[in-house]
Amino acid sequence: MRQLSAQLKAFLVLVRDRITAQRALFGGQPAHIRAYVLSVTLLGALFVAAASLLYPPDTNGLIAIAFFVTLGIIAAASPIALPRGGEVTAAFAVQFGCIITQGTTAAVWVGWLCAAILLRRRPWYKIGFNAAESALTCGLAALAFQAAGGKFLALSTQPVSQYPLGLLAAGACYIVVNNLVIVTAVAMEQHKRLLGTWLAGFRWLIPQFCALGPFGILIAMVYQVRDVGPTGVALFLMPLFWARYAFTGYMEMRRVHEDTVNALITGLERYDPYTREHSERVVRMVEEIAAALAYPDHKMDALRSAALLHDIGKSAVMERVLRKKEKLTEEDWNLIKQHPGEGHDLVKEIEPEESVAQIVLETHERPDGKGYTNQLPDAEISLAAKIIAVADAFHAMESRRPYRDPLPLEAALQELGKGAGTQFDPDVVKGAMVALPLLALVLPLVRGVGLEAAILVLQPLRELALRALREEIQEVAEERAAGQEESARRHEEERRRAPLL
Amino acid sequence: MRPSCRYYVIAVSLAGPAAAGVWAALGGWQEAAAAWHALRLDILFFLVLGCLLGMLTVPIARGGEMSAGLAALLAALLVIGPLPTAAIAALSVLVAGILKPLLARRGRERDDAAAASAEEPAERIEVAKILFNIGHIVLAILAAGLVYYGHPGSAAELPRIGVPELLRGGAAVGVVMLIEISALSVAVSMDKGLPLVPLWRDTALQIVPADLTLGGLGLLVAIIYMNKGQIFGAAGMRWSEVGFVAVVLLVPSGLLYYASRLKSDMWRVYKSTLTAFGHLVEARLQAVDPDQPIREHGRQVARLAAEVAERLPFTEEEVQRVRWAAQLHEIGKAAMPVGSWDAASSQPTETSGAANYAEIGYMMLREVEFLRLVSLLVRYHARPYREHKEERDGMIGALAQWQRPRRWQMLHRNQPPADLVLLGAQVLHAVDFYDSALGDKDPSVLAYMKSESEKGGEFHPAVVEALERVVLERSEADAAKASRAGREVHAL
Repeated sequence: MRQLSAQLKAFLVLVRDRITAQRALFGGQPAHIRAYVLSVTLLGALFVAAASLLYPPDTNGLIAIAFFVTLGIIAAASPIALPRGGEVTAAFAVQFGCIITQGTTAAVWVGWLCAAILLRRRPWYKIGFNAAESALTCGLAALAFQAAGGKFLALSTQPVSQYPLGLLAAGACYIVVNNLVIVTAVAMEQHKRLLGTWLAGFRWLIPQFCALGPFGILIAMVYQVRDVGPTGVALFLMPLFWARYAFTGYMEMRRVHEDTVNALITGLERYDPYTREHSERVVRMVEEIAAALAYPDHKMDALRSAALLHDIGKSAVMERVLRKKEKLTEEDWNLIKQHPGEGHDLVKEIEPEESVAQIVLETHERPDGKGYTNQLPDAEISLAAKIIAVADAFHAMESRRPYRDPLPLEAALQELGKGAGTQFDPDVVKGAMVALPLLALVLPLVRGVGLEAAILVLQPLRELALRALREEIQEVAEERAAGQEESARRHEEERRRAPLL
Repeated sequence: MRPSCRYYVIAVSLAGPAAAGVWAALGGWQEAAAAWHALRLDILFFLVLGCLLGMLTVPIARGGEMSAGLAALLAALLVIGPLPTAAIAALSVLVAGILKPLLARRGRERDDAAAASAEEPAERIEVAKILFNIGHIVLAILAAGLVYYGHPGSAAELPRIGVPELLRGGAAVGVVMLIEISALSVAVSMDKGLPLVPLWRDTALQIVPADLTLGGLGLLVAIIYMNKGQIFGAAGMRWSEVGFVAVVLLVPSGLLYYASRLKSDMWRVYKSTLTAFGHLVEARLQAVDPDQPIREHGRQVARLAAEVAERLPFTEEEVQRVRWAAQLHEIGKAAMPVGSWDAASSQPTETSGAANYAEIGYMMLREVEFLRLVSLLVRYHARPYREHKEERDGMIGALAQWQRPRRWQMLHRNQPPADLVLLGAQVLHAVDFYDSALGDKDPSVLAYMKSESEKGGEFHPAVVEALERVVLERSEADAAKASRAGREVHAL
């Protein structure tokens, strides 16, 4: 193991040097991505030039461009972080308003300048690519608006409500072009499929576009009012910025809440040698096992919170029992069995997400129905509770206890294997078999050669192991389903025969 | 409510209707009647909008929230004139004052968790508050009308809005803010006995950004309303135009309301989280030492400490902080391994080598930046009053070291001075002793505390005085309750 580790280390140092050398040239990107980025950048620049030559802006147009660029930059520079990652800006609303009122040239310039000014501190190829993407998106949306019968409000006396088709076409075109250009780049970089990349990382943007589109239309309508257009738009955007401020306060409050719960839970464990870092370690293991089982991303927050808080009831009801070196009495066991219920009641007050308390309540249930608190059958126990149960048991086995020494990794995994199907969910145990040894390997490697290089080597290993695991789980599930079908078929046949007999 | 504050509230409540009467007498009545004939639909429209927005709350800086009605009222002021707007303002405040508590009560009945929280006061219709709000908002609207139209008695015109009108509209928003801030801060200052100038500044910093935003929105609505022919291509009021104006007003206000709700819900969860940890500490100490004589010590101390702090010059936020510190004051003890502290003396045992439990609690809580001041209260709560002067320098140093992140402006207010934090710690110290020594059952405990405070020894004199007041009020309330119950039994 030590030799392997030394060889790995030498190899990784070599890899790291090559990465650094490549970065100096073009951000370390492979040739096909470079070609794509350059093509988009050139196309965007050509589009800006062509639009400016074909439809040169007059003085009013230039003023409008300056106004919308300023507004777009303010909007794009004030993002709101979302609870589950990602962020929202009102830039789309401003750009959409500009597209409807001012037409192609202004839209192209606003898109191009907003991105270029905002990204000025990024590498040159990223600025070029993003500015070009933004210009293409806005310009094509403006063309789509015109093609679908819309007339830009600056040139028209009709109200915007006269052009519903144009509005729809412009919105759809904006969303499609914006998503397509960016998702293609990301998919190429991550060697993933286009649809998969979009579903995983960009799908959530659609509701955002749909919500901000009407704001864009309102901005256009207010801007249309003579003399007070820009002032009106500024007055209209003030509440939006105030809402952003308030929303930031909410996000900050969420962060403070998380920090407080983390600090108090770890603080309550820190001074006790038997519980020190228990919850933190369980959270880390749960994250790894959940990743191995492709646990849905949107449920991860609740799972993490439940993992952090799963023992909160234990510390409330049975301090003395936990430290007993003698054999536990029936009374002690009854006390122990109360703790998920106590934890459930406490977590209900702590966590805004309702499912967390339920998960905590189920963490000591078993697939064979012999667990506690409610002795639920396998089908009624949530996957989250099953994952926490495995991580909790594994950490208990690898920790020192008053009555025994810690178990080595292999022995602890063997114990998990023995409990699969009775005490633990078999699929979750398989996930743990893959995830936990990898977790044990990660930390020493990271300390030795750095995070980047460790990821480079471990990632393919992890992918291989996960693919094998998922295939196996799939096969077992198919076999199980086939078995169930078979038994259902037999049952049906028997039922048919019964009247004849 | 203190008597001086009561007279002030009555005066403001009467001043609003009186000013409206004077306004009407000066010619406003005839013009308002004329406006009613010409702009009946518009007045009804703004009435509905005013009541709707009056029900929506929007967030204000440094926590808290206020009604969004100002946006509709300012737009109405510019479109239909001061007197009808003052009437709409009074009606919208009345509707919100009655409906909001009713809806909140219904929501609370649905939400079990909130119903369980004893910390939140029950919602009730507060007549004095409604009348005070009507009084000051009517005054503010009429004063703003005076600024916008230049003389009393002016009623609705429907001019196009240009730059001069915008400037006058801005001045009107300023007058509304000035009256609102002054009315509120004087009331709080009189009720709590706090100095007026810092309170006025603090209230202004809270309210001005939200008022400017809502005022701006009101101006925008007035602009759209008066230029609707230009936007929609035809003169006159049509449903699409009404809808558009309503959307422009309601969408941003709705967004603000949503952000406000999210934050206040999260705030509620946060408060309940700290309460839950307080319960956890109690349960854990009880589990370690089932013979412990005092049950629910943390809860009792929190309740009493908050009541005592309310009678001292603390703001609402500081009272909240004292309550949290009281709930968590024994968290250090709960974190220490079993057998490492002595239940009787609350000190670490000789063999444990552990630090003082207040120190451990402080170290745990200071990990959370947001609870830094609470952690200081926990740290200093076990120190007697006679060390107060020596600790002052340490406290000033601790506060100077801690730089409050700017992003927290939305969450809480300015940092309090060292003396106030030490006073908060002294509240905890006195109440902790009182509850531990079963002061509610033994009157000699309070007598001992009083004699100690007079000597300048263990307890802060102002704190013991406030504690004595609370105990007296509690015993009076208990006696009144007992006599009421006795009367009911007798009647049966």
